[in-house]
Amino acid sequence: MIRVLAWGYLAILLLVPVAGLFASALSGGVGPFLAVLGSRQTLFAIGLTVGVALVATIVNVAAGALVAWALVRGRVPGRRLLESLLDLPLALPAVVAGLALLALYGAGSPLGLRLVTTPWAILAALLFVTLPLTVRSFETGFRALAPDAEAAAETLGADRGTVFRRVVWPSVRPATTGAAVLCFARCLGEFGAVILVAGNVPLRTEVASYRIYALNESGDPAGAAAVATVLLLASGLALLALERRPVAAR
Amino acid sequence: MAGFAVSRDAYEKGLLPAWKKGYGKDVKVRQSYEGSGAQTRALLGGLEADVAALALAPEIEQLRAKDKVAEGPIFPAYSVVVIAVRPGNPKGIRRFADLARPGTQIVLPNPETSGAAKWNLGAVLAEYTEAGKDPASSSLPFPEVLASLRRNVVSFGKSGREAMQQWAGGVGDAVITWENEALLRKAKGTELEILYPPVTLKMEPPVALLKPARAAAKAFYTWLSTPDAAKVYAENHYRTATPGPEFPAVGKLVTVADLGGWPEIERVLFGASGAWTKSNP
Repeated sequence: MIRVLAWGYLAILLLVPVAGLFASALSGGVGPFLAVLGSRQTLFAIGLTVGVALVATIVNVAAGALVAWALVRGRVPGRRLLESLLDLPLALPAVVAGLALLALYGAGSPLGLRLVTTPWAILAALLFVTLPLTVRSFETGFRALAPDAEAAAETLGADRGTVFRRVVWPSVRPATTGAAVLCFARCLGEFGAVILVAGNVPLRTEVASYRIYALNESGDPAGAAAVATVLLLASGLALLALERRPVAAR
Repeated sequence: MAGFAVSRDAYEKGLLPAWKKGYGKDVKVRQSYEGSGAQTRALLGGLEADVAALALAPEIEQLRAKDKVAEGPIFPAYSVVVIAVRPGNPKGIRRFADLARPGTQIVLPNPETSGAAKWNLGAVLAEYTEAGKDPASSSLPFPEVLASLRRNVVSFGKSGREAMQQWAGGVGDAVITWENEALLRKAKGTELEILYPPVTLKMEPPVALLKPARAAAKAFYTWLSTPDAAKVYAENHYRTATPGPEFPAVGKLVTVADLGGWPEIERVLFGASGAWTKSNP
C-alpha cells in the first residue's frame, strides 16, 4: 500500500511533468528540435552552463567539505550563528540574492571585484546559492563518522593514509557524491540569482536557463522544451555517473 | 485588474486607491502584475480580469481575437523613450545613434522577453527614420547601426524594470528606458541624468475593458480618462494630454502609427528577417 502511494506520488510529481516536457519538445517533430539545438547561440548557452556548473561543483564540493569538517569537528566560536547563516542562500528569494550579488560585484563593489556581466559573475552566483547544499550534505556524512573508529584503526597500527582510505573515505564517499550531484544539478537550472548579474549577452554570458526563458517568452515553447530536455539529460547523466560508483564499491 | 510589471506602482498605489475614494461603493480589487507577454498569455489562458493594462497594443488585439475585449483600448497616459546616463553624462550621449559608438556600454531589456524593449528599439528606428527624411544626412544603413548598438550591450534585462535595476547597480554607461521609469528611479535616489533625444517615440501603453464588463470595472475604466486620474498619472511620472510643468518639452515625438503600426515595426525589427533579429551574431 505504501509502495503504491510512493510510486503514485512520484509519478504525479515527477514523471508526468518530465514526460510532458519531452512531449512538447518533440511536438513539432524532430526538425524544430534539432534546429534549436543546432543554433550556435543555444549550443554556447548550454556549453557555458555545463562548464561553469562543473567549476562551481568542484570548488563548492571542496569548500563544502572544509566548512562541514570545521562545523562538525572544530570548536568554532558562534557555530550556531554560522549554521543558520549558512542556510540564508536557500531561504533568500532568488531576486534578492541577485540584488545582493549586484551590489557585491557591481561597479561599487566593496571588494573591488567588478565581475558583473562576465562569466565570473555567473560562477559567483552559483557558488553563493549552492554552498549550503554541499555543506549540509557533508555534515551528514561527517556526523555518521565515529571518531572512535579512526582512533581504533590507529591503535591497530594503521597509518593516517590507511585510516583515511579504509575508514574515513568509505563513509564520506556517499556524502561527496550527494554534494556533487545536488550542486551540479542546481547549477544547471539556476535562474533568478544568475540573470541579474550575468549580462545575458548571447555568445558571451547567456546561460541555458535564460535561453529557455527567452525562447518561451518569444513564442517558441517547443524550442524552450528542447533546451530544457538537454539540460535534464545532462543532469540525469551526471546523476547516473556518480550514483553507480558507490554501489559498485560496496 | 491585470497589469504589466512596470504599471504596478501606478495602479496599485495610485490609481486604484484614488478611484475607490471617489466611487462611493466599497470594491475589493484583486490585482495581478506580470511581464506584459506573460500577462497576455495568462489572460488568454483563462486568468479572469475586468481591466487589462498591457505594454503593447497588439497584445490587446490577441485578447480581442479570443473575444475577451468589451471596450478599448484607450491610452489614458503616455511616456516617452529616453536615455538614462550617469551624472555629468561622461560619454557625451545625445541621441540613440550615439549608443552605437564604439566604447559605449549599454543596458537594454531583451525584446525576446520584454514589451518595453520593443518600444525602446522602436525609438531607435524612429530616430533613424526621421534622420532619413533629411536629404543632407548621410549615415550608415539601419541594420549596421543596430548591429553596432547590439555589440555595445553588456547586459540584457528580461524586463524594462530589470534592465533599469542592472544599470542602477552600476552596469554600463547608458540604458534605454521610459521617462516614467527613469523619474521613478530618480525619486528613489538613484543618481542619474535623463536625456531626451531630439527625436524619440511616444510610448502609449493600452488599457482595455474586458468582458463581461462589470459595473465597477466599467466605472474605473471610464474614470481613467478623467482629470482626476490624470493627476494621479502625473504623480506616477506619466504624461497625459496636457502634461504639467514638471515634464520638460521634448523634440519630435514620433508615434507607432508614424512608423506604420506595430505589424510593420515587428516586420522591420523583430521578424525572422528583421534588423534586430539579423543583428544577432
